[in-house]
Amino acid sequence: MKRTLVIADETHELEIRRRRGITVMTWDGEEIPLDICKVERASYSIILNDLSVGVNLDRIRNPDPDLHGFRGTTYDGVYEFTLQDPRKILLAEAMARSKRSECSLIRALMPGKVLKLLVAPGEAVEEGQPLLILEAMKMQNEYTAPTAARVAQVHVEEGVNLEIHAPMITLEALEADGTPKP
Amino acid sequence: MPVTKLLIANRGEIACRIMRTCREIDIPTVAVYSDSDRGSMHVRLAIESVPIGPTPARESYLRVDKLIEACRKTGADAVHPGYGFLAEDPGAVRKIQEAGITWLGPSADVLDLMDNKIAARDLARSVGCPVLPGIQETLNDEDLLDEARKLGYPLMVKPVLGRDGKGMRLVKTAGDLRRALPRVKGEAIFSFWDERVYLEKALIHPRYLEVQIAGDVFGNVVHLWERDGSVQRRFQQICEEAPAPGISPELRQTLCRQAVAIAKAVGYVGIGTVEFLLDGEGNYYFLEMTCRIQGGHAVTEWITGQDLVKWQIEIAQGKPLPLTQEQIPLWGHAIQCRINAEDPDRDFAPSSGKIQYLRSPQGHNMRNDSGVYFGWELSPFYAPLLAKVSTWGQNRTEAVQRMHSALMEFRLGGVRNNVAFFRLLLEHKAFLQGDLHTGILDHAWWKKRKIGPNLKFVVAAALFDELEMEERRAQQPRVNPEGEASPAAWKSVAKFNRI
Repeated sequence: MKRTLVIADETHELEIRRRRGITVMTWDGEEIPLDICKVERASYSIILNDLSVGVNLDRIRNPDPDLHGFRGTTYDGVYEFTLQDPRKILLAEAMARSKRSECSLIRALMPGKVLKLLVAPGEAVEEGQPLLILEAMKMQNEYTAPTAARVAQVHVEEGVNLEIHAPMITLEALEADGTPKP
Repeated sequence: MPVTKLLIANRGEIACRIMRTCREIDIPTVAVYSDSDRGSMHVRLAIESVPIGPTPARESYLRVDKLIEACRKTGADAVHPGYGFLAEDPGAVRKIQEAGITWLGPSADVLDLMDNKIAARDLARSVGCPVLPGIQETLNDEDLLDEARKLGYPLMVKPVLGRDGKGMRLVKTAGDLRRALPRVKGEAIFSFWDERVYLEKALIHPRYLEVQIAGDVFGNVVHLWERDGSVQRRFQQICEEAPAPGISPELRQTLCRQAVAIAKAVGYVGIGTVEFLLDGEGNYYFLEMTCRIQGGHAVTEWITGQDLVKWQIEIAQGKPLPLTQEQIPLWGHAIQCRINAEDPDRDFAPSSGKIQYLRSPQGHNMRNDSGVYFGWELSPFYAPLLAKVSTWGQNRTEAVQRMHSALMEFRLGGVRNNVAFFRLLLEHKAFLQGDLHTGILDHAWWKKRKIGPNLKFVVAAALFDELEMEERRAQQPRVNPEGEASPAAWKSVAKFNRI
């Protein structure tokens, strides 16, 4: 099974295989035999080169379902990284190209309640202009326009409760002269 | 006033902490809980518990009528508000006292006075305590902008009836102020039903000190030294220590004396905190008074050896303070970190979810006030405080080292949390030197961290987890997206069995 690791600005190509009961990890082409054992839920003991380290592993939600987010904790600190199936990277790149089109969708980053809707469909907004206020976790979060745009669609009403990642507002990019792109 | 059975009108870590003291002195406890808190730690620790309504706090924890009804049902004759929720709501205090129930906190009149930040400023001035220059008059926006220009920026805009850092905003220019005014007013109405705001001169990187005081019904008031709560995000403390590092004994005495004078001036009964800001030149200014037990009370308990909840109960029972000022010691140094479910790398955005893994720290002179357990599902409706870890040492260095070691032991999975962030804070040079100020977290210096030496171990675990998941998926029978075996599969089974 192949995975691409991304941590901070580093990328590594990995592979893991089970062969006759032995697990082998390949790290950028270098083969490393692994002795790994699940001690309890979310907690592993790993022996590498006769040295054993305990790791607490946590899967973290990532908005992109193909990017598997992890947070591992050892005695020396936290490591946050993503693993991705390299086959899916090609697909993701194609997706990204289509996403870079003229529409952008503002989604709820946290579950919460729409407290105030500040724009109406058809309205032109400036970069950084507040679009709506979402109350989540006892806080009022303001969502602003990422770029100058026109409000194409509003998917929510004031007072409704939203799930995480619920679509809220669709923006349409503007040409330099302020007219919507064809 | 009797306190023979105590209802705790709060949840989470503070409710658990109050119950522990009650158990110690044989006072039965009653927990109240909202729908999503049925399995919460505080409910499991209480002797009796009463459901009081749906999850949103306005429909449960903030419903005074339901609390009074719960008291009647269980025979509780006293209410402890903890902090937050109803703790500083004079209206709630009046209703509860009218129902003949003892309130573990100051009187409604004191709360009325201290809730109004302008009245509190005037009171501090009247006992000779300096306050920051500000604009207190209710003015229209244009006049306010005029006055602000005379006063000079930067300024803090605050709601008059505000607390817990809600709605506060720092403004650096007239434009900032113009934009901030409607927002602060909006938030003030939303949280406190009042749109009055006032301006206060903002100090650049002040230190934030608070003096713990206690007063009884006989008019005695003592202080239990100060705490430093300078490490803040969103105007809320996340790390506090006592005594404040690098403060001269003279300044300590002055602050404590001023705090006692302010508490005496209002006839304060109960425990509370007088808060001060300290500028770079060692000048201090009264900020406000917090009329409840505070989140940082554990560090005061460490250095004085007292149990402040026990003090609250005895004060409410009408007993004199257990100690005189001379009898209150100051031993060593204590520090506390508030473990929140939040992400320091993403602007401290709160997180919620199920706690998948929990290993709490243990050890010598270490205390963990926790309100969660393994498997507990954290609700996004309440403050994301999970636990408060505090340590004591002979001196600051020892306390900090002990805390660092406790945090290395603390493992928490399933929700994003700030355990690793606190470890980096305790390694931060400015923090270690005691160079504390409220701007210490303004720049996200903790984000620039190197990848540690154990990357391969961690990645190996993750890779193994992925492999096992893949293998499990491969073993599962093929199902269509609706989760039922597809008709095609059924057909082949039927064909095979000649049905």
